[in-house]
Amino acid sequence: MIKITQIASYIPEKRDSNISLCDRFGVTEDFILNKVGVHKRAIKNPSSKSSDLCVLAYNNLKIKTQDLSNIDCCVVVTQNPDQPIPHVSAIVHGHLELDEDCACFDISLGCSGYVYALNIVSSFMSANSLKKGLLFTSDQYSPIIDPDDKSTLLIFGDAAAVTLLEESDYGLQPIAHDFGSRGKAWSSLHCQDNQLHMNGREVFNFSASTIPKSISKVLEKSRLSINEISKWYLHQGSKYIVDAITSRSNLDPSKVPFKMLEYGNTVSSSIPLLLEEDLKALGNEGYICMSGFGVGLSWATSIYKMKNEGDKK
Amino acid sequence: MNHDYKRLLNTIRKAKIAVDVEKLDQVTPLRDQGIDSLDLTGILFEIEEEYGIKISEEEVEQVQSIEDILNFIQVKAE
Repeated sequence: MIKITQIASYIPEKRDSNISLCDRFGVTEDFILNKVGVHKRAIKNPSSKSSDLCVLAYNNLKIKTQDLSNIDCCVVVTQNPDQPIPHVSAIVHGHLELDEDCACFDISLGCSGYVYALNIVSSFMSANSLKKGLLFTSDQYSPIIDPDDKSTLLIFGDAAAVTLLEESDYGLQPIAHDFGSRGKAWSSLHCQDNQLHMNGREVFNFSASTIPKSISKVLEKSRLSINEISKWYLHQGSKYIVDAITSRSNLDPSKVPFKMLEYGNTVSSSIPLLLEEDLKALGNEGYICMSGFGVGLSWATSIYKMKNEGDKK
Repeated sequence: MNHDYKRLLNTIRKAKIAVDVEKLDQVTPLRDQGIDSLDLTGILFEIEEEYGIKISEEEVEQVQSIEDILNFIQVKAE
């Protein structure tokens, strides 16, 4: 079975502080730290493109993983490609000098992208008997942020992540999923004339009403109880939305990691950034749930089972 | 405390704001009583869910205080 076996990331070193923006936007430090939940935003080098950040994440994966030969597929989740044509995965494929029989395609999704893509890529690999695949998430919003727009400037940061999916007895294996869209509200979060526009209230209402229901659905599909999930990896939209979903879903806050304070909302990379740190530490803890939601407005929620080398079931 | 007012306070409480809901003045705008923009978003969301109504972006300006909200809900219910 295709499983997630390793994750690596790249977060640009440069950080812009939100605290220095308090007076300009008429907000308090407490609001920045405890409501928005972003102290500093990671900002990429202006000349770096999506593909460059993918390659940097891949270089970090090489440090963690001995064998990255024979990659059968290379997939990039992004809505900020290097250029309109070609797809970013082709550029990454070229940079990494992957074999010509390696399948390449992009997936255009935002904050729900990672959870969707895990399902798409693992299904694609299983259907085509592929053994090893790379799934990149690489959306950099810094070039499309209006510096006078409080609702977006204080939130988004740049990063990329890469997930190694492979045929393995061990790793995270999919159990149950729930996907959906509220397309009639697409304009709540969109990019026009190279500038991001967000109706924060609409996006909050969508997330706070939809994700608790989506979580209930995957629990029902998996026949698991809420207490059987050891960790809840929610898209790190803001601290306020993570807290609201935690509360409305009656999740144990100690099982809901929050980690965007030092780099911001990294769109489709937010969940792999959380998982990267926990992947090895999950041990025999059993089931985890991840939920991505945002641009579209779209959501994807999945439950995975951790199977490690000590688990013979 | 009448029923409508009590129901509204219970609804606002669901938004888990840091301010003591019991101490909120009825006529002073919520934003002037230590409630920030995100808390207001949360409160409006809870009101929409509780009362089954939709508060448009234009109507947000009409619901700045508890008194405003009570009047707004009454009009929407008619």
